[in-house]
Amino acid sequence: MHSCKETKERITELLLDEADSTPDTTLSAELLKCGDCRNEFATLKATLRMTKRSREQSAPT
Amino acid sequence: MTESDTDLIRRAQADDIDAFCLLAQRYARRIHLLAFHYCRNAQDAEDLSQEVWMKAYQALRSFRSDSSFYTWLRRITINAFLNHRRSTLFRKNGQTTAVQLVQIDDEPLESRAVSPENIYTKVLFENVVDALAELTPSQRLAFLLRHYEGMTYDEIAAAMNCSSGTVKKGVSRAITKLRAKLSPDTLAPDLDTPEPLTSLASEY
Repeated sequence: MHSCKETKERITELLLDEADSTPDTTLSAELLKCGDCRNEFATLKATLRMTKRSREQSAPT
Repeated sequence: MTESDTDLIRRAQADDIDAFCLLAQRYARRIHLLAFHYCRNAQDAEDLSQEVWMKAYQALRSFRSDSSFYTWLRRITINAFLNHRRSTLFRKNGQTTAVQLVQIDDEPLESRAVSPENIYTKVLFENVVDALAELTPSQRLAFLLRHYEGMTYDEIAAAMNCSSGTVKKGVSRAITKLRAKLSPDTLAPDLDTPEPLTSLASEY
């Protein structure tokens, strides 16, 4: 059964710990089940992508 | 031909000032950007960068090539950040802009062609700098070292003299705060074009 709390914890863990890992298929399955969790993941990921892009744009050439 | 870091370091360790200046030129912008993101103030970042280079110059003879020159330099920079934080020398409510930052570059932002992409980049940069200002110094430092410098949690913990659990908590809180601070409008370009979940997950 889907648990938003557990899924969001896993999202946090994924974003914090597994930056270079292969996709987590279990988490992907949970995200497909729940729009809120999907949105949480997309928003956090977009935040990190924005900071990454900002860094890349200002990085030394 | 570009001289290697190793050659420049060897010359600089033999009191060749020109070699040290070449090394400084090579890494100045990177150190300045890290300092700028940490301080959010161009003047503080400049002061801090100068302090880093002074300390690097004084300590250069102790550099033993057991890490890269940049890793060694970054360690000095982190210590300078932490010392500054303790002495609370940073200006409060310092305001700055991307325009100030790029003055250290060869090509000022003003001279670049005004395109939607450049404007978006500038707005994005300023939003991120503003958002970083919402973090505590520890959270900001942990976030920058993790996401800008690519250091591991253990490396950050060693550098900041705390546990990796503390670093993780700090980075997690930093991401949560950044998410709240960065507006939905700014997030929109990413959210408007949903990606397959596998693609999203593969990046992180």
